Amino acid sequence: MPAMQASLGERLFRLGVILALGAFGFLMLVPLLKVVSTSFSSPYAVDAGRVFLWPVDFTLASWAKIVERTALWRSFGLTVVVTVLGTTLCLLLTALMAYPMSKREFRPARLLAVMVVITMIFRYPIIPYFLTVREIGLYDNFWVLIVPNLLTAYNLIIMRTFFRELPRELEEAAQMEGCGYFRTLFHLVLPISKAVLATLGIFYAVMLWNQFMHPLMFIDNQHLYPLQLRLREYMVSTESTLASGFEGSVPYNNATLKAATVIFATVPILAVYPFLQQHFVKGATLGSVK
Amino acid sequence: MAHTPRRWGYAAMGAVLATAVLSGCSGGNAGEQSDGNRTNAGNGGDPGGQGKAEETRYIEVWRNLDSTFAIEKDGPYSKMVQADTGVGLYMPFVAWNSGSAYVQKLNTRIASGELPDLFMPWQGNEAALMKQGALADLTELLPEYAPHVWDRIPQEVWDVVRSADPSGEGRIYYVPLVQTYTYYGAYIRQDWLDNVGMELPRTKDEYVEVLRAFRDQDANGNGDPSDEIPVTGREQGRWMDHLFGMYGVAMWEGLPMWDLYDGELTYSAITPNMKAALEFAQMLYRERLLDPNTFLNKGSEWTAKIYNDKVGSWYHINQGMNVRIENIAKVNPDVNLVALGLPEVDGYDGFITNTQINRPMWVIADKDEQTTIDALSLLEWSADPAHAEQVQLGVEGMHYEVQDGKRILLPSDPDRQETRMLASFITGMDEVQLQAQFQRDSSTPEQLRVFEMRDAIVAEMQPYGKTVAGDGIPSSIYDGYSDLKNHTMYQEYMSKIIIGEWPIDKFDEFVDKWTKSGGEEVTARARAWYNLIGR
Amino acid sequence: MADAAQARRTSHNTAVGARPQRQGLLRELRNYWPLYAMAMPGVLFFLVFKYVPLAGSVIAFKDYMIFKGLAESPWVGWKHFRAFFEYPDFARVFRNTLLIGLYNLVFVFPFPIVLALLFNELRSMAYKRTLQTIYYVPHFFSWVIIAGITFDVLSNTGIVNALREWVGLEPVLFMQEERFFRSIVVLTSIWRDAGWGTIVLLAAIAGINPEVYESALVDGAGRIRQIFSITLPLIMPTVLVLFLLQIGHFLDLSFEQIYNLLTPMTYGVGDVIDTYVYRVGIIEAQYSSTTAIGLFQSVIGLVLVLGFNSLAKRYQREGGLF
Repeated sequence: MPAMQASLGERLFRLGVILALGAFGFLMLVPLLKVVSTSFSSPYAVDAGRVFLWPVDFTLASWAKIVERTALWRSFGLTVVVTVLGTTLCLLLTALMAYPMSKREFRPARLLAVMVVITMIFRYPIIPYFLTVREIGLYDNFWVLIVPNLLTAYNLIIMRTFFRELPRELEEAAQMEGCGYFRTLFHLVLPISKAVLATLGIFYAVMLWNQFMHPLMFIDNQHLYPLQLRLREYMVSTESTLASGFEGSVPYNNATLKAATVIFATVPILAVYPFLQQHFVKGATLGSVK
Repeated sequence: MAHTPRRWGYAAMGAVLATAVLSGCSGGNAGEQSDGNRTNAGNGGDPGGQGKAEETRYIEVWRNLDSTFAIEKDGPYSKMVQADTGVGLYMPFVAWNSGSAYVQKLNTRIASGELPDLFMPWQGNEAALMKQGALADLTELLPEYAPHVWDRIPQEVWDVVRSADPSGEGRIYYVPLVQTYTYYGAYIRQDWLDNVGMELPRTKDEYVEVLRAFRDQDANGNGDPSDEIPVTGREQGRWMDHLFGMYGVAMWEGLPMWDLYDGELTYSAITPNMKAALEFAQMLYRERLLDPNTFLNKGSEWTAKIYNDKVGSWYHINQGMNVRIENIAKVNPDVNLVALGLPEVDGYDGFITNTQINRPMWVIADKDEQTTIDALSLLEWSADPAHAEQVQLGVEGMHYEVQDGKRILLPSDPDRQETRMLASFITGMDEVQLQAQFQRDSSTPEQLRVFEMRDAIVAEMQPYGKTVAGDGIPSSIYDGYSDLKNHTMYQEYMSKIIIGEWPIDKFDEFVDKWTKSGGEEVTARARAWYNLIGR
Repeated sequence: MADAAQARRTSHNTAVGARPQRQGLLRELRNYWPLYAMAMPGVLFFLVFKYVPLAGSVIAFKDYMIFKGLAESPWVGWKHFRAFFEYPDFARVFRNTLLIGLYNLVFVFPFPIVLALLFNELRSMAYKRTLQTIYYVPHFFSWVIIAGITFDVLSNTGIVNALREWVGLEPVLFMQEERFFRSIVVLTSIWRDAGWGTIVLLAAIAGINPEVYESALVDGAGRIRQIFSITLPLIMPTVLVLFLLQIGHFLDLSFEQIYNLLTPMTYGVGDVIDTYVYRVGIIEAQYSSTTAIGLFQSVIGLVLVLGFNSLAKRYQREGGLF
């Protein structure tokens, strides 16, 4: 491409894009900056509303509290395991179902698509859902953090759509050579679908990492508490729920600790994307088969 | 032929669905679940307690856990209670999340027929449970096994509790959270008054004059005459009740209550008193005496303004004022906060709304008599004045320490402290003063000044309180009219009138609309209830 | 629609040429059992975890009592639906929902597409990746935090009013004026989720064969023309599917977002079905009414999806959802 000389208009266009995207990029960092600076500020400065994008009265006190909390680290470890294991299983199951659904010769493909989309449009009522999952024996069980999350209709449809866009000739060639469907999926289709696997990997990982409702409903044992549930301990607001007690008598500020906890729980999952970006390189799909 | 697999598919799906639905829903049947119930209760406790389970009985207690983990069966708090009662208690960790997570979790437990033994109902779910026969009838057992609870709560409060029985037989199904003192108050900065050379205002007109002086002069003495906010409130018109209370409007944290107007129980939002109060608040807003950002102030912004020495007068919980004063002192060491009382308005009897019955506090699941008795003995422990110090202070070494004979409260630490599950649910001035005593005992000289200021405020606000006639009115009067229950319509009209977007005449439209969209029916139910309790 | 499916099958048959038109279930299974086997775990998953609880939607026609259970709850027919339609402010709530839903489709939905195309124009890999990462950051913060910042920035002492004052304008309390509410909803949606929305589109762009661009260059097509004549058409199937998935949720807006941005002064334009459901249901735990309203939203969503899906198939025969 460097061989081609870009016109002045095009260069201006590109310059505009570079500058505009950069400028708006700052806006995108506002929430992060706000929470980070809150976590490094003194509780008093936060209560007085003096913290916005920069720490005031810099202190590590909140972070020291977080690091001390063994329960938080235990939940962190559990959540990492759930996310890694869960994402792997989710991708596997999604690919397994999406592949036949993308095949024209698979008769129930359309029926399955309808069935899947319906589950996306209609939301089940929460109590029957609770009773069903409990009946399966997943109550207070580690697997409840993974199994009910294995597939989402949205991700399944997206993967099927990507599979459908793959050049048909490739697979036909593979089948001519006697590859069965399983071999074709695992040795041909998945290796050239890294971009969509990475995308859905992020979607699943974020969902598993951030899950709150499932553990809230199904987990009693506090050794099985994932991070997001743990975090809620800091989100307590006692104003006017308690008539008595010593609330407020010993200032124990939640705002800075809350911010530190939010960062603690967000940054690890936030950091996943940059590592997966290499799979989004143009032509990644076909590059590997050539 | 192309249809065959499809039809087959539907048939299979139907079969799976049918069996699954049937088995899935049987979980809702309480009778079948007793096995699961037992195993589950076993899981909740610590494994070491198995052998002791023969001797000690444990009660599963649920309420809001303020920043702690689960309460262990043989944890320090449970041990302390066991020593006195022989009954232990435990609770799994249940996130609170403004109550929504708590209710969600509680409802799932109820749906599977596994109610906690003793729990705090939330958002009125006790009404549905009473109707479905899920709660223990306490009418006979309570006076016998929890005499202090029975005696310390006034009979008129029990009458209200009885009125909540859906069968109309006047049985007792819950234990209320009771406050027999004035909880809320209005405050003004005495040091600001001194700076502008004015006296504590006693009437509405004096109050307005003071607020104007706060607005126009450098009342906080920081050199900027225009950074003062004379009086502030919060979003949805919350925490500015004194502006309404001055006109005799029954108002609880910004929510209109039921009280007697012209001798009849009436929703205070539709009374002429409310109209007058709105007109007054509208004037304050127009003159920028009421914070222009009032209806956008989140709790945090409201707090920030007060802490930054910007606010002259506000309304809140009397007992919490020490925290405010402490923080303002960091910006302005001369801070002197006093009770405003309630400025008088000609032709109106002003008051601060007291609700003796804050809300239902405890209900007991209808399991067996032993469980009910054990649960009652826990409540009795909490209400017995002999245990007042343990109830209030908690566990030595976990919640407080003894140094030089003084009890020093420890800073809260969610990793180590358990919630004081059985915190006092009946509070009068005696308890308030006892609390204050503990606080003063464990304070430094600077803190002492703050606590004394706070205690003066608490004492001075007492005479302004009045228990409203609609105290404890069951939320079921609103059944089918959720917008009335949530005060949605009131809040829309109130805020738009005060900010001047709508003229005060719109108030009449509101009264009309409220009455027509269910208000008439709700009022009839409310008055029927009032006759029932025969106050 | 059956025709289209038939056509697809036929076209494949001619391509492979090995499959007779009529065959029995047995032969179908013998030839394609791996496909059935692959789909089986997923199908089971949907049946157990989605369809079984979905059958519980019958509570919309009952007065569901959580303690007594489904069987003992009395049937009440359409009562909860009627209550919703007879709600005095139904028209307002429904209109607001439709409008915000429409704004979401018209203004919020296309934004990630534009953004993805612009990202694609960046040559410097490092700059591009950094920006992409930055743009997806806000998605990880809850609406409570995002709305809190919005209130801060737009308050009478916030940055925006400070700027207005600086140029001599009166401060405006944006959050309590009806005329700004929907724009704020749109802008905050874009702010929080546009970057996140580009991920799947960037994956689609990554799937484009570079040879296509090379041949375009030979033809002398400029960058801007390449966007419109190559990139956009080639990611169109994905965009279509995303559009159809979105339209299924036309009436259920992001509750957390609206709830956290709404004030009583903006109920007139911002009170939507989901905030109403919250008042009725979550606060009062009326599972039956909330399920009934949810069914109403879903049925509308289903109708929209079916309608737009058949339109989509006209545009692209093998595209769409099903």
